[in-house]
Amino acid sequence: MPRAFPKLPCVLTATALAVHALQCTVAAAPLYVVVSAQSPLRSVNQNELVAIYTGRTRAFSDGSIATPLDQKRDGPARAEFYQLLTGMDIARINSYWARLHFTGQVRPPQTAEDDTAMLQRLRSDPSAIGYLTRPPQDNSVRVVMHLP
Amino acid sequence: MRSISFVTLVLACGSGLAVQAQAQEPADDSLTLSGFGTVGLVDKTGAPRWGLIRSTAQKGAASDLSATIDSRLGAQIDWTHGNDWEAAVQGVLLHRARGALSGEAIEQAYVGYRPWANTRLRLGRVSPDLFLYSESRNVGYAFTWARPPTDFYAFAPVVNVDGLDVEQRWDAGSASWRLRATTGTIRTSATDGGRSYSPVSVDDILAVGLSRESGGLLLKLSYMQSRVNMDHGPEYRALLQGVGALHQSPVPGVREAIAPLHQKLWTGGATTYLALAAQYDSGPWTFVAEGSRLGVPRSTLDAYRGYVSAAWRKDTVTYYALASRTRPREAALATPDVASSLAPVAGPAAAQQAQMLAGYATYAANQFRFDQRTVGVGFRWDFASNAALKFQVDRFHVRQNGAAGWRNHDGQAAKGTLVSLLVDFVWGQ
Repeated sequence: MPRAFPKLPCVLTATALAVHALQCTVAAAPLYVVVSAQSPLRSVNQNELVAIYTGRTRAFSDGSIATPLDQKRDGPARAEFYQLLTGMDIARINSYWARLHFTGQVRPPQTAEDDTAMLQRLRSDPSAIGYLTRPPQDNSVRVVMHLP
Repeated sequence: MRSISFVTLVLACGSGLAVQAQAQEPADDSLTLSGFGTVGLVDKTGAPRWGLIRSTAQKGAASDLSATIDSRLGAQIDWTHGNDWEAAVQGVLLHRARGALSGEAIEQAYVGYRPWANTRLRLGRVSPDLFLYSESRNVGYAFTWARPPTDFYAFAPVVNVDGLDVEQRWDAGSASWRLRATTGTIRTSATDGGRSYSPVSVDDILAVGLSRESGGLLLKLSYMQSRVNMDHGPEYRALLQGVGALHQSPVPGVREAIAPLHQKLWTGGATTYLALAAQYDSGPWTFVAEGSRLGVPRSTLDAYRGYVSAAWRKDTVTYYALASRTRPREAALATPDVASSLAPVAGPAAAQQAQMLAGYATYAANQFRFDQRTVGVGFRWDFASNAALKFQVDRFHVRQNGAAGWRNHDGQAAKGTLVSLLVDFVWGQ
């Protein structure tokens, strides 16, 4: 039993390393910013995307309406998306949106449960923009940006 | 009741517009329910028997340890119809003064229409976008501190206007701009230093807020003008009459002595508010500064306000410090000497009565003065993606005749400490 104690820090260290490695793996996974194939949008730059996903604008640079969509509120994809896009963790983003939403400034983006639901929304709305965790498998949507 | 009627009218209009919009074009409807809340405890040492307030609409803490000042619960229903139409109703349950208008629980109730993507018109109870934080002062989860600095924000009993606004957003280079103009009225209530309830009406409101956001820097310029009327009740009106009578006195010296007090016994008039705010986010750091001038001619309410704050975030914990100050533009009124002029003419008894009246009136006039500073430190721990625990310690220093931000005060100078522990949360967002 006494010999078990020296192992504990090793186990904790190994666990921490594993968690860190997992986080690194998650952070490294690319996200695909997509729009409907019916959208005239061919590409979007990061500043434009930040403006859309932080509620500063409701339009693309060509003046057409932008309807941003989020993945599930507490899901890892949404956390990763905002971290990559804005550098803010999910708590800060949620706090930021709480301020905009409850003061009547801007509504938070509507959410889609997963990639499949996101694809359905994107196919039916040419003004929508969203993000996927995997590259789209058909031509109904168009990738306009990769993150990172 | 008038507030409720107005809100009902807006909602009825909204329903009608929605039906009309649905008839014209098919679009996705969305109805969501979300909310926010705070469970908070604050403990005060120093300033015995004084009651803390977050805004002048509150009755004030009844004891040094209080859960009623910060605790509240809010819910909001949002409706959207396509990209053009939106409506929202927000209600907030919090500890209000007895007799407060029932409609005050409705913080927002509006119908909005967007003729273009970055243009919005709203009708109803809307926020005029004047302050960095006071529109969201009930949404604790939306800001870092335990509460927005009371030195800066507590003077406003309400921040929402019954009327209409128009907002325009645009980009210029790397900067995003937002301009919002609001007009309308406010019907609310405020409490005075003795916790008495007073109806407040604000008319002819014109408010303009201009924001520029680029990188991590947000700059905001705000201006509002309005006409305020406050009914302080029969005792205050009796004081006004008494001082008015002295002001009309033909006795040499009395009119001159009482004139400054007569001028400062405020019941209403034109007001202006001008503010400049900045917020800078850089990596883990956030800096905030806001300064304002509340212009209330012929009143001891007239004051400058400001605060600065710095916050540093490490993982899920944000450590912060803040300092705030409110300073009246004019010195406190001194009790005028009317007895020495009156006594030879009216006799010592009448002179003494007049002097007592002048004393009470001076005390009442100085009740409106905010003259205090506060420094605080604290941390916010985001222990969940929709909840945060906050701990804050404030050290306050109130100058003599500057305790308008407190209830049950004696008008004397005071120092003390506030220790606050809160949990803020949002749901359904």
